[in-house]
Amino acid sequence: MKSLYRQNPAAVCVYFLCVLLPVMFGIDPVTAGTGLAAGLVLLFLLDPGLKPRGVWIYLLIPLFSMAVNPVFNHNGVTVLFFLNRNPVTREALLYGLVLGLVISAALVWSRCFTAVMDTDRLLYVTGRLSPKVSLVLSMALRYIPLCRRQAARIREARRAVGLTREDNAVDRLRSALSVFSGLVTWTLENGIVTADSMEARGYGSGCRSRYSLFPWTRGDTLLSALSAALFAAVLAARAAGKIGYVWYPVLVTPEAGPGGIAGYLAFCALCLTGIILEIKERRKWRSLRSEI
Amino acid sequence: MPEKIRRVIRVAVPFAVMPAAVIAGGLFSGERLYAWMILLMVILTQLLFMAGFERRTVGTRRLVIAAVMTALSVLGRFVFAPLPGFKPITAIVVITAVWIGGETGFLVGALSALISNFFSGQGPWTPFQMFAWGMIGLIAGYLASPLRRSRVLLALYGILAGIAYSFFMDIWTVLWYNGGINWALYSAALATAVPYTVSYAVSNVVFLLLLGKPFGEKLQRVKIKYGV
Repeated sequence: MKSLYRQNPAAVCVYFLCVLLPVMFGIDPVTAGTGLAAGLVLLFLLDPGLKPRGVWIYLLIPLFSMAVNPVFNHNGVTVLFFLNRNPVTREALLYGLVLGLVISAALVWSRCFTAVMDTDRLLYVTGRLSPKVSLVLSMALRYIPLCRRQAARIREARRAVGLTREDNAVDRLRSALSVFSGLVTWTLENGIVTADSMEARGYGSGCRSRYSLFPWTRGDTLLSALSAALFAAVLAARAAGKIGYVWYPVLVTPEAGPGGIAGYLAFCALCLTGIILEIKERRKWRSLRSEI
Repeated sequence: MPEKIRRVIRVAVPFAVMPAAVIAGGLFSGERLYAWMILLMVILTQLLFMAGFERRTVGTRRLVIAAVMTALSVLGRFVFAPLPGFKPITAIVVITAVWIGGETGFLVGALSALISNFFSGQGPWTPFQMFAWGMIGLIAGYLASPLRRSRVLLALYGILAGIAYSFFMDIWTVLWYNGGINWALYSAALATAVPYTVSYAVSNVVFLLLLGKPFGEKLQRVKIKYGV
């Protein structure tokens, strides 16, 4: 198995799905906490330029959720105090905290997923489903930097001849609109020329090929099989009632037994798989570089 | 191989997966499955649309115009960056749908949401935004001829689209947080979202009125000049 960046996008999807589903389906402090911690580590591995400032929000969400949930949710039997004649219960408070952890963990893993699945891989996946939609997507992505450049050119030209006034909001909106109008005309004409050029070169007449190829390797089979097996283990432990919390009306924690521990360990292993793959890649890169 | 996948999607999604999702969502609604079933349905709708779009014979020029409109709607965020809260995405989706067609409108809406979230952050809400903007485009396509004739109706559609977008996205906020619909939570979410709803509606109207006519003329001109 290689770094997540170098796996087939389908295998990457399987892996992230296998991690995300157990996190999101159960309100379970163990899976949510492990998921959040592992997700943050993976996020920093995938995006080394990330500042710690950027991830504080994920630690604030659980606290916010703990404050909000008891206001709307009056289930639970252990009443702590009354707020506007509505009971605030311990169960609702704890449930809110764990729910916040679940949401944070899911957000962090979604962010990791976006970091791995860049536009190249997205185009690969949509290209399998519908080459036409994929073409529209890839052309739109290409037009964004092109149009940005053109918009800057139009703005500068207008400024140079003294057509731009940016004194107040109305003026600013008006000049932005003029730039936009010129941009639209240019882009539409450009698009038609591109379309004609594509047809002249035989677009749509033959087989479609892709720019990015992600061949399915043995590592992809291994990653998918490992993720699916560990996911099945977590699911089996949950179905057998070895893991999983009951929150209302009374908090019931699962009994600590070999089945439950195995289930949680399987989930930890699932989270660690991605981290280990990234660390392995990092070490390989370093050792190869030092030899140069 | 991909053609086979598309055929499977076209048959399996409406006749097997969607009913299964509805039944499973109903059976396990006590669990948090319900929110995920709805998310699954939203994704499946888009897969279905993609599979259908592939079958249509759409000209290259129309495809390129869809790409151009998507790029412009994403770019509008940067062009109008000096005015916070003003986003022309809905307006451009509606204009595309009205002048080019509802299906192109759906595609432009869905892809605009997908691409602009690359800049502002992807998450489980992405499929919902794609669906919401796509539907705004698709419905505008059905109402194309009255919307093309009357600016008042166009503005009205902009207001309704802004409100509907906010209501729809708050359903997702509540499902995502609570697992099922909780009316108290939903109305609270709607109440806190009022400033956003108002800014959506106002910016939709402003952009539709400002861009509607010149944009329509430009698209019409391209249609006449090149016969799209």
